[in-house]
Amino acid sequence: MSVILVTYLLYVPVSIAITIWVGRTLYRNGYRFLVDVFGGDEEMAHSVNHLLVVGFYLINLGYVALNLRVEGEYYTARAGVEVLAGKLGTVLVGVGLMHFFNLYVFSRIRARHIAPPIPPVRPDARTRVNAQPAAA
Amino acid sequence: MRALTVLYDPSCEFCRGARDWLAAQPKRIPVALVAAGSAEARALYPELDHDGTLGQLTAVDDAGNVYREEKAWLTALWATREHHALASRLSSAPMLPVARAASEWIGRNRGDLGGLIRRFHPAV
Repeated sequence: MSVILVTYLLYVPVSIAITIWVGRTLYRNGYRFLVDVFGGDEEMAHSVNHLLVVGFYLINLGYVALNLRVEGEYYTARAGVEVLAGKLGTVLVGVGLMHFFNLYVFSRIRARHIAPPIPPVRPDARTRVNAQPAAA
Repeated sequence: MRALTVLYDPSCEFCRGARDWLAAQPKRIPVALVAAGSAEARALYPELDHDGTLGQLTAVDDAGNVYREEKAWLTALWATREHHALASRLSSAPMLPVARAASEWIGRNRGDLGGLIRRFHPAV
C-alpha cells in the first residue's frame, strides 16, 4: 500500500470523527443554551439547534472532502506523516473557526432575546415628574 | 427606565387607534396612556410644554426623560414585549433617519391614517 493511500485512509476517518465530536458537543451544550434563550420552549430550541448543527456538519464535511487532494508524490513514511499532520491541522482549525462562529450565532440569538434595561434612543429633554400615572 | 407615560392627541383618530393598539400590547414595563394637554397631563408634568405635545407625539419616563416624535415611537415600541427588538434595530445609526422620516410622514398624514384605522378596527 502506497504512503499516500495510508495518509488518505487515516485522514478521512479522523477528520470525520473530529467533526462529529465537535458537532455533538455543540448539539448537547447548545441545546441547554437555546432552551434558556427561548424561555423553556424545548420544541423551538430543538428545532433551531438541529438546523444549526446540520449546517455545521455540511460545511465541515464538505471542507474535509475538498481538502483531501494532495499535490505531488510522497514515498517515505515521514512525508506521509507530515502531509497527514498538515491536512488534519487545517481541518482542526477550520472546525474550530466554525465552532466559534456557531458560539457567536448563539450569543447573537441570546442578546436579541434578553431585553436591554434602557431604551435605544437618548431623551430630548428632562421634566419634573409630580406623579407616575397608573398603567393602561 | 421603570415606567413610561405616552401623551397622545385625543382629537386625532389615528392617535386614538395607536393608543388602543399600544394599550392592548403585552408590555415589559408599565405604560400609561394620558391625553396630551389634559388636566391630568398638566398635573403630572407641570414644567412640560403641553401645547407642543398636541402636535408631536411625546413620551415621558418615570425619571422625567422626555422623548419626542420618532424617539417617542421607538421608546413606546421598545416598551412592548413583541416589538422591542424592532425598536432597537430602527434606532441604529443607519436606520434612525428612516424612523424619523416615518414619524414625520405619520405626523403629516395622521388625518388620512385615521380612516385607515377605522376600516380595520371599526370599534375605534
